This record gives sequence, structure tokens and C-alpha cells, in this order.
Amino acid sequence: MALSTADRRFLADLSSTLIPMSARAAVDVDVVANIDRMLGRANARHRSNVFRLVRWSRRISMFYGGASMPSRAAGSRLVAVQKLARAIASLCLVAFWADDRARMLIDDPRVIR
Amino acid sequence: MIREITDTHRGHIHSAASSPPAAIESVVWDACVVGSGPGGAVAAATLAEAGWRVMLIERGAFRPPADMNFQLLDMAMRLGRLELTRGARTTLHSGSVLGGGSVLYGAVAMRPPSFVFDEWATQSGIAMLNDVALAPYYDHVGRHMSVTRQAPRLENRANAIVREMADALGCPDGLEIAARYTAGCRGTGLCTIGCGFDLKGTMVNSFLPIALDTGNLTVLTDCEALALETSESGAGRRATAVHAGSLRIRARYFVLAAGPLPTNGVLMRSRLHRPSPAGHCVSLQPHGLIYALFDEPVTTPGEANGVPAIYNFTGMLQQRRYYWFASSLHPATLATYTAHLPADEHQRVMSRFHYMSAVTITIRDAPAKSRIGLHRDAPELDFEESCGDIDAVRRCFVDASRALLAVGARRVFLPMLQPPRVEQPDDVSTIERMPMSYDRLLLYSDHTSGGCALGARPDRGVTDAYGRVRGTENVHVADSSLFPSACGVAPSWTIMALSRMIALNLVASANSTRPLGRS
Repeated sequence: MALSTADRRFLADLSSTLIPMSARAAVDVDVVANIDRMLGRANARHRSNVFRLVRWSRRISMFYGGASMPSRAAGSRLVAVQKLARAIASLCLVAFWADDRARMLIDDPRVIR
Repeated sequence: MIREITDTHRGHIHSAASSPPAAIESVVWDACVVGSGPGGAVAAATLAEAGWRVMLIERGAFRPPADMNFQLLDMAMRLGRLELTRGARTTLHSGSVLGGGSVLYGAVAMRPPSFVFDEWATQSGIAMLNDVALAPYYDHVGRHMSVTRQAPRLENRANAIVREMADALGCPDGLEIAARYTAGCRGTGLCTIGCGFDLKGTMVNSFLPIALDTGNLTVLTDCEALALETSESGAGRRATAVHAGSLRIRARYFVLAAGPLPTNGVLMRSRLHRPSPAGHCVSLQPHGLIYALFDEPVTTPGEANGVPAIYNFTGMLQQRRYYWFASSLHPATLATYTAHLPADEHQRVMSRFHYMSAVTITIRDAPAKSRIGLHRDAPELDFEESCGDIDAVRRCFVDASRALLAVGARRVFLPMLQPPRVEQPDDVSTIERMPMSYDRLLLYSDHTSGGCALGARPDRGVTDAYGRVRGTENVHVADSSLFPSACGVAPSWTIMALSRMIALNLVASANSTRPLGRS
């Protein structure tokens, strides 16, 4: 079981709305590759939970501006949608900020100027 | 004292994932312990030291310390298990590795305050459920786990902020020096992904080696207990075997210590009673992180924030049902707790990482409704927070925000889906007015307890005063499922003390009826 091509594209698009271009350009962190790395070490249950999260988020994103889903869905009246948006945003942000290369952005913020 | 799992020990550790020895099924073990966390490991060590032949089964794998690193990307999903409560209202974290939750915990050693024991004695009707009667068991565990009080001289800025917060709330006496299961922490702040230095006291470097030293313990990993096989006997039902994956493991006694969800799940699947009395009155004792941004740096690059935690602020535990301590801070956790911010603002906050401090809050809850049930044969927690729980969360948010602003914070980030902007004292009144429910809070629980409470009578508890499941002859519980209500503090020490007490009593009562084991 692995992320589909559509899932990967969705996660990459999502990351580009969550992490400014300047930050992404300053460090060479591939969010989707890092999600793969995390899933490669996860147990089967975790993996299937993450696959489900990605699949549902991608489906629901059609109603909430596609890759802009995290910000648009935050205003939804449905708390479940807000939580889903928060969870998928958190997955992408963890995959970026858990990478040691991203520490440069906080240890030396001048790299993005 | 850190002990090692030696090569000799490894000869007694098998994985169900790679054809375990046939003897595991052919032997009738003196005891089968389910779960290798604080409850299971202490029970296994106590029974093995008494000469019992013990089979311990663990759903996770054996990960030796050499197998761990401090890369969050490698470790984040590797050692634990994350369950959603019914309706995805909140998340429950637990260990899924040999050593159970101890591999993931922060190694904070705490005993419940006396008012909690008073409450437990009243709820359970068991007078001996108190700090004095349990003291020998706490002491035994404390010695083996190197419980060490932190030295105030190690206070860093993040801990100083916690101390100043207590002063700001007019409660300086509410601060207590923390104790931890370690005498040599290197302060990476990454205890929750396993200590690659092997300096944190876990079951893998304490009670499991003690048990393996006896030669009486066999461990089977990657093996999840599903249900007990039982037969009718004179004094109630008698368990004869546990079904674990495709294996059938027979034993004379069974000790369930896999944590509230799995333990209650095994009892329910075993259909010992209809309807099952197990699974009621479960507490989450949830946690969350409150971040605050300061003008001056709290840390410098390469240094961990808030580690080691020197103080627990427990001054409000009895009256307001919460406590907090300085939290370790990692960019990935800050990123998720501030994920509600627009991308540019989020980036600005992240670039101020070294100006951030955080406290981990813990709420002593008493849910209005909470029940573990089986959903598609898997245990699931259905809960509803009480008004008191929401009041406790709100008071905690208000007090923490006031205190953080009073000690110089410029902005406070609360663990909510859509938190209010808190930058000055007047903003705190927003917290007092805003609607709140667990659905809108970013809380998680790794202190879940209850479901098989101790009780002097059947109407008080699923288990008797020594953890035996009522209506059974030989099934015992030895984990936080036994708690009559939330313990209010980090539960591991209490789980280990109760487990020790239960295992010693089991040995004494069994030996009085028939000889067991080799010796």
C-alpha cells in the first residue's frame, strides 16, 4: 500500500500553500518524500490511518478550494471538516519541520532573506 | 540504574512475526502477562523472581536502544499507536513496542496527592488504597527506576518562566521539584520518541532485564492478545488460554496489563460476563501545549527548551483540576500547534522559535459519559466531557494566559482549532466567554485510565482489591484500568506500584493453594 499519484500531487500542492515559497526555496526539503519516509517506518495501522486521512482530505478539498483547503475549511461550520483540515495541514508541516534541514530557518532566519 | 538486555536475554525474546518456537503453545505457563509497559513488566518481573514460568506477550516489536535515533521523521510513527475516540473527538496515544508506554513517556515520576487517594478509597471502598499502604511498592519501584529529584541549579529560562508564573498567580508554594526515572539525562527533550542514549528509565532497561535474569521469562513480541478462552468452574469462570494472533497460549493465571483500551477489549471479547461490566468510567486526563512568544530568546540554537523539566506546578490540582510543567519544544510541534495561522504569519512565528516557551498542561477530568465498547471487534472509547472538565480547561487556559502575559509573554497560543488572539490581559476575558468543547480543543491523552476499577464490592469495581476480575478465578488486571478515577498526575509510578502489589498477592495466594514453577 502506498500513496497514489493523486495523493502525492495533492500533498505537494498543499505544502506549497502552507509553507511560503521563500522558506521552501531556502532549504531543500521534500515534504512528500518525508511523508514517505515516516510511513516507511510506521506500523500498518498508522499507515492505513494516514492513507485514509489523505484520501478523505483530497476528496473534501474539492469543496474547499483544493490546495487552499486548510485555510478555507477552517471557516467551515462543520467541526469535523475543520479537524480534518487541521490534521492534513499538521501532517505536511511535521514532514517539513521535522526535517533537520528546516532548522536552518529558525537557527539562522537570514537564509530566507 | 540502567540495565541491559543482553545476548543471553535475547534468546528468550521471540517475535510472532517470524515463526516462534512451538514450545510457546505446548507449555502451560504459570502466568501469561499481556503487555510489557509499566504494569506488565513489573508484574512479569515479580512473578519470574518468585520462580514462576512467565510468558509475556507484547503487540509491538522489540526495538533495542541501538535501533533508535533522534530523527523525528524516523521515530515519530514507529514506537507508538494513535487511536481516535468515537467521532474523532480526541486522540489517545500509547506505546506499541517492547516496554510499552515507558519507551515514549517523559520519565516523570509522580505520586498522586493524598486527596486523590482519599477519593479512591471512598469510590472503591478499599481502605488500604492509600499512599501509606502502597509505600513499600512505590519504594521498590523507585529504587529500580532510579527515581531522582531534579536539581534547581539546572533551571533554564523555560523552567524559570514556570517558576515566575507560579509567583504571578500568587501560588509560589504550588511549585514542586520534579522527579524523573533517570540519573543522567542528556536533555535532548525527545523522550517521547524513545531515548537513543538509553539514559531514560524504561521497562527495557529495568524490570524486563530483571525478569529475564531469572531465566523464567519468555517474551513474545508482535503478538496482540485478542480474547481469553474460558471454562466454567466452581468459583466462577476460569481462563485456560489467551488467543493472540494465530497462537493459543495456555497458562494457569493471566495478568492483563496492556493499557485501558486493549485490556478492556480483551475482557469484552472474552465474554466473561453479559453484559460486560468492564469499560465504564474511563478518564482521559488529557494534555495540551500552551505556547508563548517572548521578546528575549528563551533558548539558543542547538539547545533544548524546557529540558529537563525542573518543576511541576501542581498548586491548582485539587482546586482547579490542572497542573503544568515546562515543555520540551520542537519546531515540528510548534508548527502543528500554530497551523491555524496564514502561511506568512506562520513562517514569522516559526522564525521566532527560539523566543518561544511552552507549558504542557494536564487536566484531571471526570467525563460525564465514557465507555469503552467494541466497534468492529476493536475497542473504542466513546466519551463526553463534563461541564466540570470544560471549566477545568477554561480555568487552566485563563490562568496560564494571565501568568504568561504577567511574566513577559507577547502572545499566547492556546491549543484550540481556532484560538483567540491573546496578547494583552484584556484578551483573557475572551477565553472566559468563548464556547468550548473537546471537539474544538487540540488535546490528546496518554494517561487514559479506568474501565476495570478496583472495588471492595461488585457495585464498586470490576476487579477486587487485588486486581482479580470478579467472576473469574485467575484473571487479573495490572495497569491504569484499575484506577477508580483519574490519578491527576503522571500515572506510571502508581501503575508499577499497584502491579507489584497485585503480583505479590497473586504469588502469595497461589502458593498457598498449589505449588507453581520450578522452584
